[in-house]
Amino acid sequence: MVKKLKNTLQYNAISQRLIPRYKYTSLKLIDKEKLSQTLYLMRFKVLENIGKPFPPQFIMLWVPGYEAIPMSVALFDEDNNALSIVVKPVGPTTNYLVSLEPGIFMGMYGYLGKPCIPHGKKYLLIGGGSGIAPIMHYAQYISNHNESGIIDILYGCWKYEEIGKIPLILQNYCSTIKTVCFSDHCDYQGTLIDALIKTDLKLYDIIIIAGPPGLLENALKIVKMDEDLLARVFLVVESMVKCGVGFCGECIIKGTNKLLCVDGPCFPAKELLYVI
Amino acid sequence: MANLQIRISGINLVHPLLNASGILGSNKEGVNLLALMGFSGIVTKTFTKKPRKGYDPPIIIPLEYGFLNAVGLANPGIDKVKEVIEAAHEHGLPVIVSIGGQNPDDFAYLAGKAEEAGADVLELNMSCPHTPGYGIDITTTDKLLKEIASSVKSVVKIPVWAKLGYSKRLIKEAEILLSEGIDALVLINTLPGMVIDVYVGKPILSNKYGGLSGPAIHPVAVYSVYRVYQEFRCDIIGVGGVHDWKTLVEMLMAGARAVQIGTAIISFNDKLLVKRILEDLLKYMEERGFKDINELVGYALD
Repeated sequence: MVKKLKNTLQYNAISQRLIPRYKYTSLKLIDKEKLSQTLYLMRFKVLENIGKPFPPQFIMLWVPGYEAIPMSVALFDEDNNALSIVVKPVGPTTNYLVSLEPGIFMGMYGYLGKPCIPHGKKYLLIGGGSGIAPIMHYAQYISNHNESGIIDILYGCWKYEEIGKIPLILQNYCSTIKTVCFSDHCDYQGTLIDALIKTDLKLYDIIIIAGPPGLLENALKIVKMDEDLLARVFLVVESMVKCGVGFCGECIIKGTNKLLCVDGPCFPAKELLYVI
Repeated sequence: MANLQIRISGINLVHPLLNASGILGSNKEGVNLLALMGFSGIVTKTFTKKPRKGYDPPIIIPLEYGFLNAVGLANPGIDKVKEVIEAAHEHGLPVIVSIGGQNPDDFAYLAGKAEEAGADVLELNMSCPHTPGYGIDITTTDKLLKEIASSVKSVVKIPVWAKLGYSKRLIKEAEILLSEGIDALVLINTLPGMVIDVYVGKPILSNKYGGLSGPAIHPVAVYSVYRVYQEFRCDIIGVGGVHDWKTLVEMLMAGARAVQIGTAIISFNDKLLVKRILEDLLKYMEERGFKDINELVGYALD
């Protein structure tokens, strides 16, 4: 009799409530800052407690009257339950978004994607253009949670005017930040790949790269020759995300059994070797 | 170990768990993902005559009690169904191709194309609640239901399932479809719903309204299965909020012979979900003395 009861409890315990891992919440825009010629930092109060994001998680931001767009969390203020995103106005939705003033409400659901926080002592974080958003989150998170960690950042754009205030923000969260562009005003002249070639990558335990597909593809070409180096590189991939929760299949990474929105957006470089 | 194999509308399944239409099954990569999760058959996304882009995001809202979605029947069009079927067959799994038309001729055309491409079963989407001109919009009269069912049955030899949503007409709809030779009923589709952001003051989905799935609709689904099984003792595939052994057993006891899982796949993102549910089902069956899953079908009926 006792044995029977134990069995019953055992499988009752396995029965679980179906609670989605993601939540919807309203947001209030509380601050907007022009970071550079092309980028804006927008800060939102998250009106419900939906947990906290881990890098490089993202949200589906609903811009009423327009659409919902995937946006990486750039900074998170746990004390005030406020998050910041980096917006590059490129289409109707993002152009409208950056025209909004503090006080307006919108919505989001999240936090989406899988946290990916490789452990190490010395980090090199590389971000290109608006790909700097997940890099900012990594820098903030690692500096807050890994006091002995050393964080170097490479931030690259085409023009110096696109660099703007980003180094000023990032300097709070890193040991060094080097800028890359085609102007003499930047620390390195050329592309991020040119800077990558000049950097001694062997100094780093972990290298995280976020940016457009071309950047990731070329970076992979550089690191794939060295197996040891390859194992320390992580790529934050951008892709078309429509639902963000693994429902529609739009963001399946061709040639893999992985969905960017559920299994990513960060992947070990070796997993993407024959994919990008 | 108890037997989990079932036979439904002439198709053998090694266990009763299928995915629900709409989740992933519109391309071969998505089918591979579903196959790796361990489902006993693959139900495709609804295919229409021409490709459909669907609605702009937001197409889904996570809720405490499930999801509200309005995808808008996004799919690559029936001409692409063959690669999806072949991908499932490479895993040795039967393929249930969901089709959605705007009139009886569309359904007949789509059915013929799907059968020709190798489908093992057809699932007629007669209940999508959020795409004007499709789903519930084209099954509003007895005449239309009858014509769709008979037009499909007249052109294919493979089994035909029909997916219905809950409505006050459910028993009548089931009766019409079964009398026209439909082999099994899939009960139930998502229920129409809307969520409004009270700070923004507008509905959130781009389509404004959508279909509610998950735990919120489970009791409605169990009731629908029970009532239809009670009336007709037909083959039923239960859908709606199944996410563990208990919700599965409920569906079976109400009269379902198989079930489809949708919301739980995306809620848990647990690649071992199917395995866990089946392991727990076996534990339950062993303790309760059930030797065969077929003993559970309709067990709750008087």
